[in-house]
Formats: sequence, C-alpha cells, structure tokens
Amino acid sequence: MNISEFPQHFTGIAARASEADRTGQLPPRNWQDVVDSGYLRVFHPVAAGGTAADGVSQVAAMESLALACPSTYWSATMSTLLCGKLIHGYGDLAVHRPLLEELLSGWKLGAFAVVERTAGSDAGTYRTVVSKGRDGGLVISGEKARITNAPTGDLAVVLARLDERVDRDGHGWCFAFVDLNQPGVERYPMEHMGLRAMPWGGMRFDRAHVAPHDIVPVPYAEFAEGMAWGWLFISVSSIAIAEAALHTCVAHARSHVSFGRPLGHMEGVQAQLARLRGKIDAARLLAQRVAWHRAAGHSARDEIAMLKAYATELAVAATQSAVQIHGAWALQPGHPVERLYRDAPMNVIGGFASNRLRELIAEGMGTGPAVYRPFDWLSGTGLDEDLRTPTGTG
Amino acid sequence: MDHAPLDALSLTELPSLTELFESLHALERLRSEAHAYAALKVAPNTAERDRAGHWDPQLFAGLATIGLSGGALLPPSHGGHGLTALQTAALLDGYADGSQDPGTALAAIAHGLLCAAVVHRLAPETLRRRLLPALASGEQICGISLLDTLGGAVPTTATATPVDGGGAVLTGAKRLVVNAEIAHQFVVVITEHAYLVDRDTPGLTVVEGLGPAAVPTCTWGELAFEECRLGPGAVLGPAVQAVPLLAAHERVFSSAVWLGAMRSLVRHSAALAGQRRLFDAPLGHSQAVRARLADMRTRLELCVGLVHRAAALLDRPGTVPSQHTATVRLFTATAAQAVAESAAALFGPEALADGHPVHRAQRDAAFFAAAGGGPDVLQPVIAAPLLALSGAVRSPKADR
Repeated sequence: MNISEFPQHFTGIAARASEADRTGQLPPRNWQDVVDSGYLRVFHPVAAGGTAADGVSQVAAMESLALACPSTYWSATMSTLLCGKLIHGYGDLAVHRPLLEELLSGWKLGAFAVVERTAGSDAGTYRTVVSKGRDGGLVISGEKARITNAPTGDLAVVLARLDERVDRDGHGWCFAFVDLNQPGVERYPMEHMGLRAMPWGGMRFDRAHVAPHDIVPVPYAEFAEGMAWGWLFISVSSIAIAEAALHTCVAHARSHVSFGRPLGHMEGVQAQLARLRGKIDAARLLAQRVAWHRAAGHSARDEIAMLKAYATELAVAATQSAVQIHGAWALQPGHPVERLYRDAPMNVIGGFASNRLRELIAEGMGTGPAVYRPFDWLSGTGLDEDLRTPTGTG
Repeated sequence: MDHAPLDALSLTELPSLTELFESLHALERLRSEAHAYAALKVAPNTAERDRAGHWDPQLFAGLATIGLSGGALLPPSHGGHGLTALQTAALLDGYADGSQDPGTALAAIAHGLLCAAVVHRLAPETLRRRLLPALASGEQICGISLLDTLGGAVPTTATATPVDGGGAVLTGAKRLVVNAEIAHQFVVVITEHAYLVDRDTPGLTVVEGLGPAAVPTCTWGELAFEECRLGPGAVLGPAVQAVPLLAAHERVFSSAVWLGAMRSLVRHSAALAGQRRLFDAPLGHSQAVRARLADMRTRLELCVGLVHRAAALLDRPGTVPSQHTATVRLFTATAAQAVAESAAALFGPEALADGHPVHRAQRDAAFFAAAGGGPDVLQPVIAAPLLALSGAVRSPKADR
C-alpha cells in the first residue's frame, strides 16, 4: 500500500465533485474509485482484513480523498472507519468478520445511527430501543435522523437502549448491527446545506429484526470512546476543506490584480494567508499525532476532541477568509469557495458539536463531569435587578 | 477549481513524522527531568528574582545539570552535550514549565543556542577550537541583540566599515541585548557580516540594565560602538548565513520555552477551576469556564506539534524553510498571549497583583509576541513562499 499514490486514485472523484454537489448525488463511479484505491482497508489491522497503515499514513489517505470530494469522503469514511472500527472494536471478530469484510470490500455501505429527531447530543432523549419480539427474537424500534448514508446504506450501527428484559449486563445501552435492507426498516433523505452529495437522512425501525449476536451491550461511557474515530475523520475532512480554501486563496491572490499590484502583495491578505497556513499546519500535525497514537492502540480521546473542535471551526473560518479574499465571486453558486463554504459547517456539528466536546475536554482536565442545572444563579445575589423590572424583560 | 495541490499533503514529510512520533516517549522523559529539576531548584525563588530583576549566576550554571548549557547543541568534541534540537526543545519546555521563569531560559538560548551555534556553524576552525569549549562549560558567556535575528527587516542601527587587512570598524548601537551584564563576548550582525566582539574591545561600551519591561530574570542592555576596531579574527562569517540560523533558532527554541509556560498556566487554571466558587458552585461547573479551559489546553497541544516538527527539521541536514520556523513563532506567540489572557480572566483581579505568575506570564507573553519581529515580520515570511513571491517578480503597474 503506497499512500503517496492515493491522490492519483482520486483525481476522477475530484473532477466530478462540483457536478456531484450540483445534483446532490454521488456518481457511482466514485464508489468504484474508492474501492479500487484500497482506501477502505487502510484503517484496519491485517487480521481484520485491512492493510494496517500507520496513523500518519491514514491521515494522508483521508486527506487525499477529502481534498478530492468531501461528500464522497464522508460517505466512504463513515462506513469503513467509524462503522468498521465499532464493529471490530465492540463486536466479536470471530462472529462479525464477514460483516466487517462487507464494509472493507465496498460490497456494503455502513451508517452510524445515533441522533434522533428530537435531540442532538443529549442521549437522555433517545428512544430507539431493542426489545423482545413476538417470536421471542430481538427487534429494534425507533427513529434515527440526520444520519450519513441513511438513504443508501446497507448496514447501520445503531446506538439504542436495551429493554430491561434483554439487558443482561445492566448497561442500558447497546450498539445494534442492523440490516437496513429488510422489512421493518424505512429510509428517507433529508435536505442539507453542505456536503450535498453525501447521502443523509433518517431511518425508521418498526420491530426490525436483529440477531442476538448483533446486539453488543456497551456502557454509555464507551460511546464517546467509539465516537472518537468519527471525530478524527471529521477533523481531517475539515483540514482538507481549510487546505482547499487556502489553495484557492493563494491562486486568486497570485493572479488577481487590485490597486495596481497582485492581491498577494497586500499585507492584509498576506496576514490572512499566513495565519491560515499556520493553523492548518497545527491542526494537521495534531491529527497526525493523535492518529498515530490511536493506531498504536492508545485512546487519545481528549486530544482528538480538541482536534475536532479546533479543526472544524478552522474550516468555517478558512472558508470565510476565502470569501473575503475572493470577493462576491465566491458567493455565486458553482464557485469552488461557495461549495467549501457550505461544506464546512456540517463538520462542526456532526458527531458531537464543539460545545459538547469542550465539556468533555474540560472533564479530562479535572473539572469533573458537566453539571447541568436550571438557571437560577443570579437569584439572591443582588445582580438580578433586570429580571425583576419591566426594562429587563427583553 | 483545480484539485488542491497534492504537495499540500506533505507526503514527503511522512517518514520523518513517524520517526518523530516514535521518539515522543523519550522526549517526554527529558521534559519531565527538566521539569523536576526546575521545580525544585529554580521555581522557589523565581518570583523574588523577577521582582528584583536579580541575576543568579549559580542558577544559570546549574542549567548544565540538565544539559541546557552553552554546549547543548555542540558536539562532545567541542565540549558539548551533542543534543538534538528536539531534545533541547524538550528540555526548554520542561524547564519553563517547572521554573515559571522564561528569563533564564532566554539567557540560555541567547548564549548557547544562538551565539554558540553561530560560532560553531560559521567561525574558522581555530576560533571554534579555542572558544567553543569555554562557551560549553560556561567559562565564557555570550550575548546577542534579539534584533539581530530579524536581519534587514528593521533599520540598521550600526555600521561596519571594512579596514585593510580584514576586520572592520564598528559605529552605532545595538539594543535589546540579552546577557548584556554577564557576557564576555557578543555576537553582532552588521550589514554584511556577523562578528564576535570581546567585551573589553576598545570603543565598545556596554550599557547595562536598558531593556524591556518584561522578562527581568535575564540581564538586558545596549551596546554602543564608537570607532570600535575589530581584527580579522573577529569576523565569524557572512550575515546571509548567520541571520537565517539565528532566526530559526530564536523562533523554535523560544517557542519551546512557551510550551512549558503554557503548560504551567493551563495546569494552574484547571486547578483553580476546581477550587474557586462562583454563584455558589465550583467555577469548573460553568460551561463557559470549561470551554475556556478546553481552548487553553487545545492551543497548547497545537503548539506542541508545530514546535516538534520545526525542531526535527533543525536536526535534518540542509536548510530549514523559514516558512516553518516563522509559522511556529507566529502561532505559538498568538497562543501564548491567548492562554495567558484566559488564565487572567479565570484568576480575576488577583492575577494583576505584583509578582503573580499569571501577571508575569501576560507581561512576558506580550514581549514574546513582539520580539522576533512580531506578526508584521513573520506573516510575509510565511506568505511569500506560499505565493511564490520574490523581489524580482513585480507587477508592471507597481513598477511604474
């Protein structure tokens, strides 16, 4: 596996990225290119059917694909990296090796279903549950929404509650490996602003069958640990978006003459480019370091959380800078910066939003778990004057 | 849009990064040793030395215990420790963390990692053989103006007139000289060349004590040259070789010091969040406070990667791209100021008490950000290669 060849494998995907965004559909040829490149196997050990690339090389492979087309990247990496790692990490390889091989070969596409219609990060509101069916087997019921690969996926790793009658370990939660091509599963697409070619939508489970060995009980604390794989891939997506934005800025600043000199001769423009260069380098180096640790078997969860919060917000800032440097051209549909501008925000929100990540990071610094209490802390302090007078009613 | 450049992936850099990450455990051990030494031997009187602007020669000599002598980077054949830049950066990181004293670290950088490094790289063999063991042992101390790391970006304040038979006559002044009070020799860069100037050279006056209102635990001063005649043996080498080396070392090693300084701030801030109460709850229960702490730690981790990469590049043969070293300096200085400001926000008014570590850190971070050229020097250094700009490429309109 020569990582340096990946960019070459993805040139066709890059050439189709704009059209894919316009139509909101991933060209079938993209998936074939991803499969042929060997990308789907780089994240996994040989024993699991992978090619066991080191963490630094994994990041290079990811960035190659994300630079070519963020939508294709999200769809493919969600399947092989996040779903693949969850199946490998929490399942039983002796049992689930065929399931994993279907993802790594590209024969099937995986989705990771966590969020429900009524909530984002607050798992307390999740209702999807695995319980006993009428025939004594296990079934899953509920609805997951805003899920990558939901409309087109074949297999979902679903975070679900365990009905107390089937919760042998008392964890209360499980990962359920659910076949999406069966009666009792309904899928639907959802509109989204960016990453438009990425399949995204919801799935309803109405007593859909799940084999007992495909129910993996997990303590809820493990959820964030597993999600860290997702934070990593979303971070690399963001680094690629920021790098692509910087690339377009540099090209524009070199060629566009303004006030009698190329834009790039202006100190203010140089400042924006220099700052971006440093921030992207810093984010990429952190991504490489945490991926290296992760591939070597260490958690690095908190550092990945830091990376995710930083890199995703950087991508948004980078595309805003790109609009500033390009001017109004960049806001026209079809302009590459306009696409990047729309693609960036999903990364901030997907797989734990920044606010939630910062709470986890602080917890790792010794502040203890997040404490949520209803707002009452101005009461009795003498500082709540506005709350007690008409002028303070907002 | 054409596909973003493939070299943006820095694919050629991957093998060296793997080597770097494999060495992290050993680097952490060095960092911990330096931290333990500094916490025990240096930190107890940092606040007092800072308040009094007191220089402690014994403390400076003791830095050799952990390898931070003038010979840190010098080979054993010249009396040095033969450390790599990565190892040296790890020591500076640990030292600054444990000591909360960036001043003595700056003195060590100026002496060993700027002056001794330039002598080692540029001086004739006879001078190297004579001088380097003395610099390594601390028998001789070197000083230098931090402005000499900026090359021609700032106006020249001194001139060097060549004289027949070699050598030069120096006239003018050098400001912002580190180790001014203690140095036996000064490295000075004036127009075409770098020179080694003995403190006792006729025509040189060292004005001690003139320096910034920051980093008071090293000694500052100015050099005044009045018909200061140097012999041919004082010429170290061409400025075009000295300045890039000085700039690279100043950027990377001073940034390494601020890794340690930020670690200390982050640790103390997190501890405070667990102790202090606000609105009848621990400060650390506030989501806003938690976000501030998380961002402080994140900035630190981002800087670690940049410093390590740049230090690893210093250890490789060949020229280190200025873009990389300038990036480290710009990013770390911005992060250091932000982290110090966040710490100040958490500590509240007490952080502004005279001698408070957070107040000192804010003051010194501001100096760190301004020295080394600040953003107005570093940004074009980073952006110019990005834009493939050079002095020879001008737009026709600009020429008219």
